[in-house]
Amino acid sequence: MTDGYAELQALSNFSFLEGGSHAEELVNQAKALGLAALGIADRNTLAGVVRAHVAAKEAGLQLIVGARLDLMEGISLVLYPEDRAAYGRLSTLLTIGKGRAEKGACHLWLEDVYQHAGGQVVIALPPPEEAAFETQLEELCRRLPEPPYLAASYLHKGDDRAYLARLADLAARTGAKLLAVNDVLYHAPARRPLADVLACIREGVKISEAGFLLEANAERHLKSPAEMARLFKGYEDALARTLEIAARCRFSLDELKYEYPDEPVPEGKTPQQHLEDLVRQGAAWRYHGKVPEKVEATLARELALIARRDYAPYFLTVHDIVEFARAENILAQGRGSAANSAVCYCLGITAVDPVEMDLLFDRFISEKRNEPPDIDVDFEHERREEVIQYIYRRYGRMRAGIAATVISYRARSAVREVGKAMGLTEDVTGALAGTVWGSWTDRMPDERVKEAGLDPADPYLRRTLELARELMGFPRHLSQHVGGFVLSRGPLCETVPIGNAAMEDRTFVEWDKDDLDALGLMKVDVLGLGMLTCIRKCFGILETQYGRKLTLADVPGDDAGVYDMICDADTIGVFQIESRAQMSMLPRLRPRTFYDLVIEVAIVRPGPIQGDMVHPYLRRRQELEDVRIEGPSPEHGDPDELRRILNRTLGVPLFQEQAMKIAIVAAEFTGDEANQLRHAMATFRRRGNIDKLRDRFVGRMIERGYPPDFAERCFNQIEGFGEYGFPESHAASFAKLVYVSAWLKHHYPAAFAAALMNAQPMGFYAPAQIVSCAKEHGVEVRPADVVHSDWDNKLEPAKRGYALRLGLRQVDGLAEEAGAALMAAREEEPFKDMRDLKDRAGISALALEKLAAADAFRALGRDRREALWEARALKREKPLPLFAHAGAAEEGERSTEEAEARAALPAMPLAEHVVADYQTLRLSLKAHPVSFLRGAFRERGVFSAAEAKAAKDGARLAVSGVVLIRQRPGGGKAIFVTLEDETGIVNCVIWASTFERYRREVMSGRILYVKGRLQSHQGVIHLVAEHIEDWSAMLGTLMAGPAQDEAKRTAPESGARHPRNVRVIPKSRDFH
Amino acid sequence: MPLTDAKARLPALAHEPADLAGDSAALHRLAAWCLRYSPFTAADGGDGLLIDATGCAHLFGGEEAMLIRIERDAAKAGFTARTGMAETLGAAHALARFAGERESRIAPPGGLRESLEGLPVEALRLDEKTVLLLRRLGLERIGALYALPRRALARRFRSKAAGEAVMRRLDQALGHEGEAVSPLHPTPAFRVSAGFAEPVTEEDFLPEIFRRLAEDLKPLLEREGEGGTRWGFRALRVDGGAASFTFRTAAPVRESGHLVRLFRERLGQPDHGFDLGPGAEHFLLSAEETAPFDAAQSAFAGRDHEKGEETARLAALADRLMARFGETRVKRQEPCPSHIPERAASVKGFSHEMRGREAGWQAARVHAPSQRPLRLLPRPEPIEVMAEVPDGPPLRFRFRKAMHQVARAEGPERITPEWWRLENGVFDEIRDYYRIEDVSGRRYWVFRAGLYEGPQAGDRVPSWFMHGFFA
Repeated sequence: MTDGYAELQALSNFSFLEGGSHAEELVNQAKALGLAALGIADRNTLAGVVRAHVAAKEAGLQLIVGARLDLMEGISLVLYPEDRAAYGRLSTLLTIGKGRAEKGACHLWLEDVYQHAGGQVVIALPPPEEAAFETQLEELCRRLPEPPYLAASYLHKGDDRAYLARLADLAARTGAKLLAVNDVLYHAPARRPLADVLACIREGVKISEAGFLLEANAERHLKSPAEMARLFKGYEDALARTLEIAARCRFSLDELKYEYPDEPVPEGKTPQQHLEDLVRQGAAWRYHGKVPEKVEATLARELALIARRDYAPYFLTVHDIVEFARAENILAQGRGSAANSAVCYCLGITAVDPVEMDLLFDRFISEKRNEPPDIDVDFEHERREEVIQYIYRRYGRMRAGIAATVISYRARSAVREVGKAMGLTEDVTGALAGTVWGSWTDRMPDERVKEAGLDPADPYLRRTLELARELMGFPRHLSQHVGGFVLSRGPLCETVPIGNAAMEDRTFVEWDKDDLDALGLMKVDVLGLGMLTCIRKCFGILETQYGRKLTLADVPGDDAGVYDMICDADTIGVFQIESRAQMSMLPRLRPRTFYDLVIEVAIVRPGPIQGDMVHPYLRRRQELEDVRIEGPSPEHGDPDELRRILNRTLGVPLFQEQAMKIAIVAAEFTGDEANQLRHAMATFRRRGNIDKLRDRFVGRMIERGYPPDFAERCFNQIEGFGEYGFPESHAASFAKLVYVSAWLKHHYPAAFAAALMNAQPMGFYAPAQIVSCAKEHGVEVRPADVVHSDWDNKLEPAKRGYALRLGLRQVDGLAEEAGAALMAAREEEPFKDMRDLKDRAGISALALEKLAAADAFRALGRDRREALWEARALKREKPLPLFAHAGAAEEGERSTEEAEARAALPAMPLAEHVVADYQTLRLSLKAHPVSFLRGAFRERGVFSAAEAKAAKDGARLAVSGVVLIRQRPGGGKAIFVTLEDETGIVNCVIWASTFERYRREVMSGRILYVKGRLQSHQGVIHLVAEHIEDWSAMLGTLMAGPAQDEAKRTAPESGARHPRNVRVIPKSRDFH
Repeated sequence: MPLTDAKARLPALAHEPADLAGDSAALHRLAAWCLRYSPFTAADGGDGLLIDATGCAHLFGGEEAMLIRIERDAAKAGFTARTGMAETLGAAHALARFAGERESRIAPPGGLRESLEGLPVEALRLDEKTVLLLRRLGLERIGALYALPRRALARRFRSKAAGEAVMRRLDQALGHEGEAVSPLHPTPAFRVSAGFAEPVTEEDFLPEIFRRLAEDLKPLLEREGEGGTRWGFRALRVDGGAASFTFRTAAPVRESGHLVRLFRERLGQPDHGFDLGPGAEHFLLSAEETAPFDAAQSAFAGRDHEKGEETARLAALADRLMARFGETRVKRQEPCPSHIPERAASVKGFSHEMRGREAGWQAARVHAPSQRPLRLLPRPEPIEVMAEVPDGPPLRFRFRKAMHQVARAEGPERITPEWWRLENGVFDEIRDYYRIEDVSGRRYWVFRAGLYEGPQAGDRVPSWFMHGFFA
């Protein structure tokens, strides 16, 4: 009856807020329906084609790659390139269109299409208003190399037969070729509700009011060849043409071949020669002229492999970028699997000596895996832009592009937008979104809905949540990747369209990292890392203040004092190991060597935690349990087969590559299966074949005699890595920075604290904790002040060594320009008074008020209140010279009046000062807010943090303090709340059942009273909560003035908020 | 705090939407109730009452006794009242709201300064920002303001007005500056009247009286840029009774001619009920509801102008029909943006805003290119159909017992239910509509509910319905 059908007009969800299905869903459905081929053509983009390509390859379906162009003349064409050259033209065409428009838009005219029409199959889409279309179609027939196809669809509008007849006539008159399509918007009719909701989000209307913005029916899904044949009865040639196009368009993305740029190679040398020269020089530098034999051998092996695979230009390109950074004094360090390479180490790209660490090059580049190397380099986050601009300069915009990041709908955003489209009010959607601590994968648990004060049984709400879940994972828009660059030898735009970013001077390609990976294109990750900024700033202070010049490479290693500090969990500000979870691990793991730090970095991660590997490792490390390496039963092979893999970690797999190795060795995965596993984990995809892989993995290990529990845990761990993979080499690179930052903190606490605050935003803690930690290390901290402070925090000579002087950058809301103007004016001559400061620095009245509110005029003899009084009167600009004299009399009269008035202002109580300090600086050097409550606390038998620390394990006691951190890791069984008082911090654990009882107190209290049982184990102290009260109101009753109300305001009930941004006391309503 | 947040914290929380208009009305009723204490009372903001007690206190046995009496009476009526008394409105306001339990809430003659001294600055009726700044400066109590040089304090405010507000409120409270109180009841703005020396007994005079009043009212409306949409005409009779007419117009109106025509239509009705009795000597005409006049007018030139004229003529016709047959009898169809045929139009009264209807019909035609009957059956009626499976048009059908042979058919137009409505009911199946013509040339609009096959087919056997006829 039918010869088959290929669908050639389909949108995926990369036509944002229009297409209702993932490319994978379209491909799988097309395959299931028995379509001959599928053409996905999204609006003005090729962004979704790689995903479709990968899915089509897996499914064994022919994918026709193309794009739908919405032209400025108001007509739309679908273009399918026949070959690589035509694909290049299509990609170039899109690049041209995007170059003319702001981010996300594309401006193309018919004329552009004619110029790039060679080798393209062109399908003209009839617009709803058919009147002007005939002339346009005639023009297309005349101007294109061959007449276009004319798309005809049967969409059950009632007059479809008449419509088809009209189009057939039109085709006959103009010479265009009628082509059957189904104008597909989603893979199956069940997606129509989501497509309707997408239309509502797109148009900003509620579903009940969307009316004709929605489709009348659900016919725009993929249909079987038989169904299409039935609908297009009498138009068999229109169906046959779909197969004709499928036969013509044989281009596949697999044909994109990559060629490295050759800039970094000097003339007369081959890339390989040049690389070998550089490596030789680098090795001499790393090993001070005496390169160990082992290293020589490793280098020779690596270089040989690089030569065989022709990767030298890639290494040279990365080296070139790192060299630029070095010349500009920008700290840089490679991370990830590149740290397995001795070549990278000698080139100065990575900082870990792989030979010393016993890291293996073939984990980085494998001859068998035909994947290009992947080197990620971290740069200081503040100066990364300089590196990026260098790359653009060096390779040009047509050959260098930043990868895209596909921003997808997450639980929160999906609920918010679907809820709005469904007509729920802002407070309902806000409440729903607010209860999302992490993300929910399958459906929103009823308890969460109840927590939001809503009824989970409400069918309308259910429907909304179901739709939100469907929307999750849909791409929302493209953004530029933080620093993944694609570089090429030829014009990059012939491979992938390049568009403008929202940020000026930025362009980015349409594909993300996974897409580039899937096609094997080369990329370099230029990432920003806050800790590198901090370290460089600290090095700067050491050089200017202490005259000590350091680089990452020559910080002295193996310093016992540094490890002692780490074992005490005294690690606020130290890279990676400063979080609450890491800190509670440190006293148990007790790192003493560099490799211990590598493990410390890797162990507090979803992988080892989900695999329940943490406790076994700790027990073995503390020698409470024997090291045992699991193995198969003897008849299934070498019982010691995992020894090489697990020996270093006491038989417990902790790193991602160990887990993968177990898959290959213990579960006997083939290379192909291992790749599938890697793929399934790497990307946020529909699950499905995960379960198959799990059965295979666990089943085979059990079959071979491994304990079932071990096999199960290994797979759980791999799943955990899916969210956040952590290979050993990566942990080693990070551990290097852990050590360096800990070393700086230990030896130069003042400089470290200053650098840390100058590099904000970064790290886990707020300035208040950084400052109080510095104080504990004996650092004198001085307040921010207009007379002494710079913009940055800095060191000032003190009686003993140096004191830390807070910078004006700590003043909330003060612009950097105001700070700079102030410093420049002060440089010329010290300020006489506030008026003088305002006149000479020329800062705004508002900036002046902010400084006054931050109590920064003490050195000019005015406390906060007096300064505010004075600042409020200095609004007018400097008087004109002509009136200066006339004004003098008034001025004189005024100044006596002012003096009287100032004397009449009541003095501000200390407690109010402290509250105001927290509001304007987010910290106070004067006192801790809780110290004012200590008397009242005593009466009620509350322990201080210091007293609690000294109490015995199992003791029942109560503490109270301001809430610093609320966390619910992994949406799990426990909530962690960190309280702070004037003596330190207490970590409280609230089990879920307790939490349910005290939810309101925990979520909105600023000051909590927690009574419970103390758990003290190996120096890690937790208070397990049994009873909780919200004591926030006490803060108000003990204070006077506005502080009273402001301290009393309840905290907004929100889920996870970064501890760095938590405000102990809410911002005031008048200074912001 | 948003309600959902509050509910999350306290699930048992009872809540009701605020009724600001109701509260305000209740407050005004209370003000009237307070006339028992003094001839002058007024509502004060959203939560207070002003009572001018001048010369009244002695009737209750003194000031203190009067306040106690008011509080007790209020308690009986179910209100908790706090009272304060002073020579100035500002001070009384402050004392009633902020005087502590042990402080006197009556300012003795000449003792305003002392009475107010200890009250917080909020008591001065200042905005939140101003209060915050004063407190920020440590000026917590009203007394702290006395000592400050006035100009120096005024300079601390962002605007001159804000600075002066503090001073003015302070002066008002201390009696250095007077303060006017607004009257209790507002009067309708658009009302004219005419009185006659001799009572009017003849109905025939009424249109002329009405016309003159309408002409008097016109400039009042013009001045405000308004037109009337609801009109009240009242005759006050010599015997103390009254007769009245109220009527609506579809669009805002000012012209007396049109109004008189409507008035005559009304008067022409046999049972108009406007009874002059022994005669009326006073006549009132008021525009009880008004709307901006210009908004109802279309653009000035070209086609739009003609369209505007047409719309105006249509409105005038509707007014006359309503005057003759009653307001609820005149309806028109309004387009609703829905694909579901019975929801695509709704029948509304005429007095609604009329613009945008044309565009609505236009949009409906684009989205459903196939023609539909002008009027649908109130409910689709089941029919028996012979048709080709799965989605062929009817070949033959039985409707109201008669068999029809189909000559021509077009379709299907497929319409799926509005899935977001939870109350779709019986017809929550996909419908395929067909336009069919029987052998005698009569044309029908029928549909099949449900599909025979395909991914969207339901469990029920599809059934057929008649939904309308083409003219």
